[in-house]
Amino acid sequence: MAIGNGEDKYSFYSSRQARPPHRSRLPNYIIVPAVGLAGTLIYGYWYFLDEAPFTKRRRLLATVCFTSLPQILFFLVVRASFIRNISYLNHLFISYYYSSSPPNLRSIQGINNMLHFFNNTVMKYFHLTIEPP
Amino acid sequence: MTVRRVGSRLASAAEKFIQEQGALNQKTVYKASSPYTYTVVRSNMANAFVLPNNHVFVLTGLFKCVKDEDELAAVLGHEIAHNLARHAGERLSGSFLTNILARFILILDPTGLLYSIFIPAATLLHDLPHSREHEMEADHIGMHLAAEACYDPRAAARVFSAMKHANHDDEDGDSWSSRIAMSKTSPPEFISTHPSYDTRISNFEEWMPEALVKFNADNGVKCRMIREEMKLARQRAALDASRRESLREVTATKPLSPSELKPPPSFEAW
Repeated sequence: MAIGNGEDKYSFYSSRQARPPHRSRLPNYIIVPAVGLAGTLIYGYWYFLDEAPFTKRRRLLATVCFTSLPQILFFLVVRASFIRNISYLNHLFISYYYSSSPPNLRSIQGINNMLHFFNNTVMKYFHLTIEPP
Repeated sequence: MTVRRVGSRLASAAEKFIQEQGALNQKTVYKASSPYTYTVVRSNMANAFVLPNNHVFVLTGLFKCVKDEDELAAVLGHEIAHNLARHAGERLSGSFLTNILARFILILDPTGLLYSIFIPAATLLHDLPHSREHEMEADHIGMHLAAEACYDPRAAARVFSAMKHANHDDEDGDSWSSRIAMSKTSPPEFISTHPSYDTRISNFEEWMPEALVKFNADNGVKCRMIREEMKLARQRAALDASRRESLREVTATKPLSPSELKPPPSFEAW
């Protein structure tokens, strides 16, 4: 058995095989966010796909209705992010107010009181003010 | 008063509609809607609109085209249908998606050239077709609501042809101003938020048999009785209105008595 003459390619002493060239031209830091964004958009579209009443038309309906305390807390976070000028989250806030199915709350006054309390305690620390509706 | 009376009948039909559709569609949760408010706005424009949370507005110019309660029900049914189908929410959802894509385009092309092409394209290819679709859907549901509330569904085609003719009457004449008015009142359908009157009228004719089945349910007995009640309600409303008018005239013409002219007791009287 000849050693080191290149005839046996599995030999420990043979020269290393050249790596195949890297096929993808785009780096991973571009591909991963792009795929993530596309995936999120597709999943979001599928998740919020709805059926119109009577005509049964398929449509995108991503407005939210708040019926419980965790959802209201989520709304407050969204509202705070709106004030911090993250404006794409502001759509969720607007859709809350302008949805045709209103939240199952007894009165807007309750929200006002909550907001005043929240402004004077937590948000004061962050130098932010949540406007009452 | 008439708007409120017709609207309240349609609102009860809308409640029934919500219950029916809620039973059919398990995924979407239809909640009991807020009470409707009706506001009549003094204006020459023949228009009506609805705001989310069930606030219906009717412009007085509409009464040039609307001759009876059936025709008013067709218009109000259309406006109520917009809220039932949650078109405002759908529009917001669509604009949310468009906004994300627009931002992504701005990241790709910071010069804003692609963005300046994307925004009108999105309006023309996404927003306006969806808006016209919403209008047609509201026409369909509104017609169903009117028939459910025992208003004649054939009135929908009548009122829209009256609006079409009112527009054409405005367009008569050879002056430049009337031509400009014509171009303002009837843009081509593909750049309009609403379908053309002809499209809407032909749609009404297509949907009419279905609506008439609902209107003539129980061999028309149910609706005949309700329409008799409507007639009585109209007479009562007319009587109330004439009584109010006569009372107003009396109070306007009646001279004030000396006791009414006497100034109120002031501090000096004590």
